[in-house]
Amino acid sequence: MPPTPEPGHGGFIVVKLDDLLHERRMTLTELAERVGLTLANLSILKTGKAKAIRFSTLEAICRELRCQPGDLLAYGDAASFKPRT
Amino acid sequence: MTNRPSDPLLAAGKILSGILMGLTGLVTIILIGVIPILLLNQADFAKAVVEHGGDNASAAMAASIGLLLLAAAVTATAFIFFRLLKDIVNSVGENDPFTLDNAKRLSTMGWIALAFQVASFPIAGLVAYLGTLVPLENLTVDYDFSLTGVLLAIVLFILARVFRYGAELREDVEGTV
Repeated sequence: MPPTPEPGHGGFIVVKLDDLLHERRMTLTELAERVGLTLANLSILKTGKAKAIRFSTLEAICRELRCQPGDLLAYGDAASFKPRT
Repeated sequence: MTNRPSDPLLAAGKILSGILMGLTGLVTIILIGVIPILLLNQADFAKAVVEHGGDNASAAMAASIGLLLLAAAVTATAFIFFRLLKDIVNSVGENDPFTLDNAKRLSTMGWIALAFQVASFPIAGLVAYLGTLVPLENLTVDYDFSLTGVLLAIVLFILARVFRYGAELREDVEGTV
């Protein structure tokens, strides 16, 4: 769990969909089919370009990946998150 | 939003704005075209002024050219107004009306509607001045300041705000997964 940024130090929400998919051995296309979203929309979410996420989308992803919203989303600063290698 | 292939409302909007663009464009060309004809026929113009009881042909010529230029500016601006309207109608046809471009178009249309009302004063003044130079009984120009025009400008400005807000909402929706 990365440290929460200090108040005043602008952190941001990070989507950890890539890591979850890797752990579940699931492709983005497969998840898109299961949750009923377009691949394009799911890619937007995965790359962190989404401005908002609907609860219905969050519920569907959590249901299919058997995870909690906190497993998918995290709040931190740039230094806290290293891209998966 | 529905977008039928042959939406009569959109078709009517496109056709009407197209016709009005054509008319205002044509009238602008005619008004501009009359100026050199007037200048080339100054002697005949002066004779006609004297025949109608006028005595200052050069002032009447200047006032006439001024009036033609002002009228051409108004019709050219009206052409722009209808072109902007056509662009808005087209964007509705493409199912993408809530854009900042349309907000700017509506705002520009509002300024144009306001400019028409402001232009009514110098035009009315020039017509009155021309009337003193050449006492024509049948010289009437139906171009008056109207509160309806001001109201149209206000409505267009408000609509521009509505569209700006709509564009923000659309951006939010597009970024939501």
